[in-house]
Amino acid sequence: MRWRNATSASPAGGDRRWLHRWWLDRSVRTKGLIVVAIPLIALAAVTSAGLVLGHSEHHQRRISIDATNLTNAADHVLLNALNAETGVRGYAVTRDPVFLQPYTMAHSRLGAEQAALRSAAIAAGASRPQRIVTATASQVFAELTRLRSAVGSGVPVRALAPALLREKSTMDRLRRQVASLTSSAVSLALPRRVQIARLESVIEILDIAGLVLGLLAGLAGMALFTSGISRRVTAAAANADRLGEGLPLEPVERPSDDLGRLGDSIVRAGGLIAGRAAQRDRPQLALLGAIVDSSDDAIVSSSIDGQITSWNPAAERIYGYLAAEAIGKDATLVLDDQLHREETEILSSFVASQSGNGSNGSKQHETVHRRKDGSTFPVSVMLSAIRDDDEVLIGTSAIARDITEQFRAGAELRSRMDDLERANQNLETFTYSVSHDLRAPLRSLAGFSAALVEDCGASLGEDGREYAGRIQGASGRMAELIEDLLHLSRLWRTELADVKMMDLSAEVADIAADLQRGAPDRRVRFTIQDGVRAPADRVLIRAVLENLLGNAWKFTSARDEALIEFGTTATEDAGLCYYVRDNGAGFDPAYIDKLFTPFERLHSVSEFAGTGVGLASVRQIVERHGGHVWAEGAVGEGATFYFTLDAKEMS
Amino acid sequence: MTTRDILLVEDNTDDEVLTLRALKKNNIINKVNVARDGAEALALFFPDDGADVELPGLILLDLKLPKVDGMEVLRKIRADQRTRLIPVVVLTSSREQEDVIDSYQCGANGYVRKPVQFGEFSETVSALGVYWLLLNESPVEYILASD
Repeated sequence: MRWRNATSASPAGGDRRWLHRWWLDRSVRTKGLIVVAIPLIALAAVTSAGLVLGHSEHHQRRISIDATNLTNAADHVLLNALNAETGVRGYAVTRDPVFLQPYTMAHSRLGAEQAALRSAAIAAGASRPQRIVTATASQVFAELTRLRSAVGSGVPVRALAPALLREKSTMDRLRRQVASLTSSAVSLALPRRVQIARLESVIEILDIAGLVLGLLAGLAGMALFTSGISRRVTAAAANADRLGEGLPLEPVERPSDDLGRLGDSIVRAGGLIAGRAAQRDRPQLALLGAIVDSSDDAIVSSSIDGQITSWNPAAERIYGYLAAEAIGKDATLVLDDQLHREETEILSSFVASQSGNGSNGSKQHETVHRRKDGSTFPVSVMLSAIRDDDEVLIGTSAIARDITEQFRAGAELRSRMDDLERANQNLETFTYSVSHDLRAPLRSLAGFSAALVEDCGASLGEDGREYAGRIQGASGRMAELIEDLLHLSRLWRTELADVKMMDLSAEVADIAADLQRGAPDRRVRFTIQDGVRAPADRVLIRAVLENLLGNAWKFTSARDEALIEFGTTATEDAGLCYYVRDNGAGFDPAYIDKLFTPFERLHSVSEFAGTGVGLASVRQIVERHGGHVWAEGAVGEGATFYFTLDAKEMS
Repeated sequence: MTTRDILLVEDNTDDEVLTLRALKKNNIINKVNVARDGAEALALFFPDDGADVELPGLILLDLKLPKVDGMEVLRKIRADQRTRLIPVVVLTSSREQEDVIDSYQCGANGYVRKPVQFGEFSETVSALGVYWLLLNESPVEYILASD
């Protein structure tokens, strides 16, 4: 998680930032206290305001009650006096003491009523009107007491009139005084009631305000907790995770509080680890540097926009530019003018193909580069992507190898191949020509010399017929030579067609039987090892065996006890090999090199017939089978021909 | 023995003389026409004026010929309804496997290599004549009969 640094454009931005900064710089303990304190303070403020207002309301209510009490007490005093007056007046009219009862009861309650009025007046702070009322009430009772006494002593009603009038005026005064007291108490209580009603509504508003303030304070506390503690703990934890997984760390704000120190420590730990890794990698880097420096190939790196960023000594040697000259220049420095566009396209398409994070690869191509002196040369260029730790493409590296030599060698090889191809074609033409054109004149020689003898034999004479016979013999031998030559050239051209496991012993026995049939008079003893098998081309291996056995047969013709042997033997360097041995004329080992050369013969035609192609064919076939052939022998002591075979069976 | 002509396609005059001599020596008396190259041979079968020509009973065909080679002559003969059944024996110096296979694939009735020795040569030519003109039932008679 990245911390966004608020760089607000508003004038208040600076203050806010300062506040934010201040908040972040507080320790976690302080932050915790602040977060908890905010709702508490809000709560205390609301509560104390409520208390003050409540007290005031209570006071007002008290005053109002006191006024009511005073009014009530004054009313009681007046009522008591009226009751007493009613009783005395009734007694005065009737002279019956029964009517005195209300007076007696009122008189007995007078003290209590007056005391109640006094205490209510003290509470309401209206002692003076109370004292007046009390005094007037006492005077009313005193006058009534005198009236009762006068009635009791038998004074006539008429004589009582002045006393009654006095008493009435005192009573009226009491009435006025009580009314005055009541009205002043009411006028005192009314504004209190208004005050109380106002206080009650204020307290109600205060209650709601307290609720809202408490909520807001809670929210503020939560917000501060999130920004100052929770979010940064999460960020520090995320970085700790990254550290554990070896990933690069996210930058964090570093205020001076404990969380800032924690985040900072994690980042520093990451740096320390990376530093140690770098230290560990340093020898590796030095080694890589040494490899680059000692490379025979030019190793050049460039930035994405094509500027050369490194240039190794081989590049200096190959291109002729010093590193100081090349670095900072455009990579097109070394491009040949004619291929400039093509090369630039290759480079930019490579960069494009590597821009994706997944597409890691390299591209090799051959082109022409230019040296500082303007000369050009062929190079093989290997382009690779250079990426930073986050796998983002930051440049390319090119390893360029001067392939002038390979080019020359390749061209030479191609030219040799062409020559060879031409030679092969010539050989084909040649053999075809031999096959057709050399034989035609031979046919004429043989045909017409035969016709000469047949048609004009008589006139030729003995010598003439002999000469013609020699012409025929010579043309016959030449035909045979041509035949063998063609056979050999076919062998040179033939591929192994059908390699199967062959029973060589059976083939040898078959050939031996053929030879014996051709010359039934000869006595030759064949010794053939049983069960000799090898993978070989049937037709070709038969030709080898026919040649070797035919030779053995031919060169033992002078022996009375001819012996021909076929078998296998182990040799030191060639492993298992096959041999055909005879006790015939043998050969002089001095000429062993000529044995397998076409048309080379170690014997005269008159001694042993043949063209000298047989053993050349044998060598050709054996070599086609991956083997080789060699011979041992001495003049008059017979010969042994060895060969090996190393062909694979074909399916 | 049928009296149909033999067509010998041969550019080498020595071989021509020897072949004619061998046929004569072996009592094959059929008329022998000689074409010296492939174009001449084809002209005998497919004349420019489109005139009817008498078909030979046997063609002895050399492969290596000036102008049009023997293989092409054989192909043309086999491609035409009228001439496609005439017995053709390739008589050549070549013993190349390729030539043998190609000849049979083009519809040759036989492939014979000219021997160098005259005795053999004579015997071979004689055998060819005897076989194809005397022993073999030639389809040419039927083609002409059905015309």
